[in-house]
Parts: sequence; structure tokens; C-alpha cells
Amino acid sequence: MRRPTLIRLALGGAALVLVVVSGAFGRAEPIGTYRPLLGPDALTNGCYPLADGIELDFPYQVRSDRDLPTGGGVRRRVVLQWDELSTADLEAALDRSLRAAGYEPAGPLAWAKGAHSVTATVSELPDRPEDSVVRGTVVLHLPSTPLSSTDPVCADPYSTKRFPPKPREFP
Amino acid sequence: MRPPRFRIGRADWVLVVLLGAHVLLQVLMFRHSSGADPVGDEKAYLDAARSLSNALRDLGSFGPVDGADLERNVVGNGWFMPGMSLLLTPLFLVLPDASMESVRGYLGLVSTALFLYAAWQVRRVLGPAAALCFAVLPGLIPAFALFGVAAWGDLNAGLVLVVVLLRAVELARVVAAGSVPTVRQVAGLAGWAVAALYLRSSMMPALVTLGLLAGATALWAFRGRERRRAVLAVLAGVVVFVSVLLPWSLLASASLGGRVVTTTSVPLALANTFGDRDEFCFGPCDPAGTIWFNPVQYSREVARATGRSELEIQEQMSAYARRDVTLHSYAGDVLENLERYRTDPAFYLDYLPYDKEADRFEEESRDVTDRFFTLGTIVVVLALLLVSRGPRDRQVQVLLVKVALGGLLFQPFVHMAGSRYWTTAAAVAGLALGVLVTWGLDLLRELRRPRPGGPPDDTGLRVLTLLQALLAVGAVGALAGLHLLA
Repeated sequence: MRRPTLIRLALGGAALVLVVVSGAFGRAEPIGTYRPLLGPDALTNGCYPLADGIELDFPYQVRSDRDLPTGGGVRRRVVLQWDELSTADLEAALDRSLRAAGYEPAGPLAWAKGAHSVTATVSELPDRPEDSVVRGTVVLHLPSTPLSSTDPVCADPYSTKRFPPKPREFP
Repeated sequence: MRPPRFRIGRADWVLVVLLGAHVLLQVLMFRHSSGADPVGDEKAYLDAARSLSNALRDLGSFGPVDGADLERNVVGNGWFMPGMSLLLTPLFLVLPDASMESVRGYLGLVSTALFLYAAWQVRRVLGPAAALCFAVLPGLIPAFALFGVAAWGDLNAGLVLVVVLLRAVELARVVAAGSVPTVRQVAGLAGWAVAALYLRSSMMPALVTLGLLAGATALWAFRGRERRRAVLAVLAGVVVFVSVLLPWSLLASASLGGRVVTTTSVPLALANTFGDRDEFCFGPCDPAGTIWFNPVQYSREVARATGRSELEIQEQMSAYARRDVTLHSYAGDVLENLERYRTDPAFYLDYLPYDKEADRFEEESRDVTDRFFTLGTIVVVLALLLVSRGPRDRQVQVLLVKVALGGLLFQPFVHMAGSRYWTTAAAVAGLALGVLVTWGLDLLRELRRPRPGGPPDDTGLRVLTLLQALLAVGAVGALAGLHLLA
């Protein structure tokens, strides 16, 4: 056999042996920062569920969620985008979702259940391309919900969408 | 033209000294950065290597391979082809929890070996004068040596591209001598080419152009049976290239649920570079995090809500963020990018490690890097503009250097540039310096002892000259166009 062939065979053999015995050295542990696991959605992670068991019956992604002081106490403001549905279908789905939780219509895009009230502002995406998956924004004003879970995911703003306010910038 | 005959001369001893200086520089850079924590994308390359080593371990013990781990850490967001990670895998196979010192030391060994191999190839194919040039530029640039101990693929990709170009020069010589390159030779070239791509997906424009040139050569330089053989050889090269690329493309496509050839980063890069970042997530993205991670996070959320692929969402997001891009704004952004490409080439000296006070070594290194960078810029401009009408071998060299530099400089047209990308072009600039200097030396020799008559009138030669001229005019036109539009 020629010398280079022998060297190649030896190198290949050594690599093979290395692979076979490598299990004995332990396992490498990737850190995984570049592809964090996708946490559950803000309204289904159990941290701050919507009041009165409201479940939204359409495709959406929550963009922000916060409690705001108002004249009548603290109200919750959830900003979400809806996907795929026309505006009319979205409004129908919204109505369906609230009725399913026992709410009754109390005006255009407004619902009430006893002392609880929910209002929605629906706006289409500006310059929306025809085939766009994301269709527009819904801003929901509803009764505030306390933190309802001790799951560590509730400390992850990427899941809850409750980002701490931006630090003030000084000139 | 025949390749220079190999004899060890005085120049070779100088070459050995210069290469030694490069090795010393790498050692000094290792001392400067050995303990530095991984910075930015280095983390992704290291994680992918860890995951690949685990997959090999599983294969070695005939156990099932953890596909989810490979998807998360090797494919990740689909941004980085795993060339650097494959290079790092043997280290993690032996030392699963390798320290940063050992990672950087290992990387230094690999890149030094690659640099010495590339320099040896320059010496073999273009002769001692060109090799001396290559040993100086990029060999003696401190910040270039710094990237030798870093896990980004830019530096190694440039070195491998130099090897690709030199192989192409050799094959052109075979063609010039009237023979058809063998399947083995062309497949070898394709193997190096796809290795360069794995190290840095920004190689694609240059490599595709080289492939087209190879195809054109096979069709034009031969007739009849020889042409068939040449075309077959080129096809064999394409098969090698594609079949090495395929495992990555298939894994990434399956993992991300869309078509991935090399990288998924282009829509993100286009939007971040030219679009309105406040519209990237059909409005602002999440307030924390970076301009790279937040859009991906958002696309994954939309994908989760709708059952579509995150890549499809990213395409739509990018198009939406770029809906107000005009030729004027695009040209302005490209110019800004080119500026960013060439400002502060020594930036990473301060970054690796970022928490260390600048010492005298770092300041000197910065200074020297800036000087070399000016030299490199002049070389790149000359290599892009000068057109050789001399012997075929020189014309081939100048053309190949133009294609490679042009292909690499395509990056600022689609992607935000930074102080790292020049390290890929630096190796090609070194090759270009070698080509220019040997050209100049030959001209001087001819002035002293003029040879009767010019080069023979040959259609093939005229095509080569024309291609060079087109690329030179294209480079000037692109720059002038950008300034006019911006």
C-alpha cells in the first residue's frame, strides 16, 4: 500500500477510535443562548390569565400587557396583534370569545358582565400587504388580574410581555 | 505560462522568517485574549460544536442521536453554517467542558496551520515574491492574527478562499496547456469551495461566479469529446459542492419548516440594514433584547399562533419593514455600510476581552493594524481597477482576484457591515498584493530586457481582458452610482 493511503487509514482509524471512546470523557453542555426555548404565550402561561376565564378564540400574539391606574381603579391594557382573519371575522371572534365567558354586548366593541366591563379598539395594519399573515392590532381594556402562578416563566417578560419600563435616558 | 519551478532560494528563508513572525503574532494574540469569554456569535459556534460532539458521542455508543439538541444548537435560528463548529468539534469530543483558554488555543493552532498551508500554496503556485507579500499582508496584521484565536469563521473562510483561487489558477494552466482538468482536480476545487462556504455563507456570490466561470471555460475552451469531458468534470464539481452543502440545507430546512440553502439571515439583515426597525414586528419589536433576536422571537410567536413557518413570517416582516425603502435611502445605507466596513478595523482588539484595560501591546497593535489596513485598501482598489493585457496566467490571476474581492464586497449591499468582515477580504487582498507585485516585477524585467513583439492575438485572451475590464468598470460604476443616488 502507498504511504499516503496508510497515513489516511491510520488517521481515519484514530478518529473512529476517538469517537467510540469519547463517551467516557463526559458530555458537552451547550448554553443555548442563541435559540432560547419559546416560552408559552402571555395569556395561556397561567401568570396573568384574562378576567373571568376569557379565552381568545382567534390567532394572536400579545405585544404588551400592563396595568394602568384609571379613575375607577386599576385597569388592564393588553395590546395584541391578530393574524389571518379579516377585520369583520376578528370582531365576530372577539364577540364569541367574550360571550363564551358570560359577557353581554354593551355597545360597539364593548361588553359587560356584572360590574366587569371590557372594551376593544381594533385597527388594521397600515399599508397591509394583501397576503400578510399579521392583520392588525387589538387593544383590550379589561379588569386587572393578579399574578396567579409561581411558575418561573412569570418572571420572563418575553413570555408575559410585561417588560419593565425603559430606564429614563438623560441627555 | 508554466508554473514557477520549485527551488529553495534566498527569498524562501525570508519567507520562513515572516511566517515565523505571523506565528509569534498569533502567540501574542493568544496571550492577549486567551481568557476572553465568547463574544456574540462566537457563543453560537461553540454551542453548535458542543452539540455536534454530543451527536458523535451518541453515534459512537450506538445510542440515539438527540435531534432536538442538534436543531436547537446546530441549526439554531439558521443564521450560521456550521463550518467553524465542525472545526471545533474534535476539541469538544476530547474535552467536553473545554475552557476558553483551550478553545482559543485550539482555534489558534487551526488557523495558524491554515494560514501556513495557504502561504505554502501561494509559494507553490505564484512563486516566492507573491508568498512574501502574503506573509506580510495579511500575515503581519495584528487584528488579523487576533481573529485567529476567535471562533468567527471570517478569517478561515478568507484563507480557504485563497486556496480555492490558487487551485483555479492551476486548473486554468491545465486548460491553457490544452488539456482537460481531471474530475478529481475539479472535485478537489469544489471541496475547498464548499468548505469556504461552510465557514462563512457570505462566500456564496464569489463561489457562484467562480462556478459560472468554470462552466463557461469548459464550454468555450474545448471542442467535441474534450468539451464533453470538461463539462462532465465541472458537473462532478457541482455534484461535490451540492452534496456537501445538502446535509446542512436539509437539516436547517426541516428544522425551521422552510427552504434554507445557506442561511436564514438575509431577510433579517435586509430589514435591519435598510428598513425601518420600528416596523420590523409589524410595529416595534419587544423593547428589551437585540435587533437580531427580537424579530426571530416575534416570528416564532406568530408561527406558534398560526402554525406557519417562522421563515415565512420573517420574509413578510422584512418586506413590511422595507416598504418605504427608496433607491436613495438604499444607496445611502450601502455607503454607510461600506464606511462601517472599513472604519475601526482593530475594534475587536478592545473587545476580546472587553473588560481589560488597554495596554501598550493593544495600542501598538491598533496602530499597526490601521496602517496595514490603509495598505490593504490601496491594494484592493488597485486589484479591482487594474486590467492586465499580459500573459494569460496573469490575466487569469487578476480576473480571479477581482471576482473574489467583488463577491466579498457584495456583503455591504445586503448586510450591515462591521469591523470583522474585512478579515475575509484581507486574505484575498494579500493574494492580490502578490499578484500585483509579481506583475510589477515582470514589467520591470521587461523594461530592462524588452522581448520582441506583444502577446499573441488570441480570442481567449481577449475574452479574459474584456471580463477584467467589465469587472473594473462595474466596480467604478457601482461606487459612482451609489454616490449619485445617495
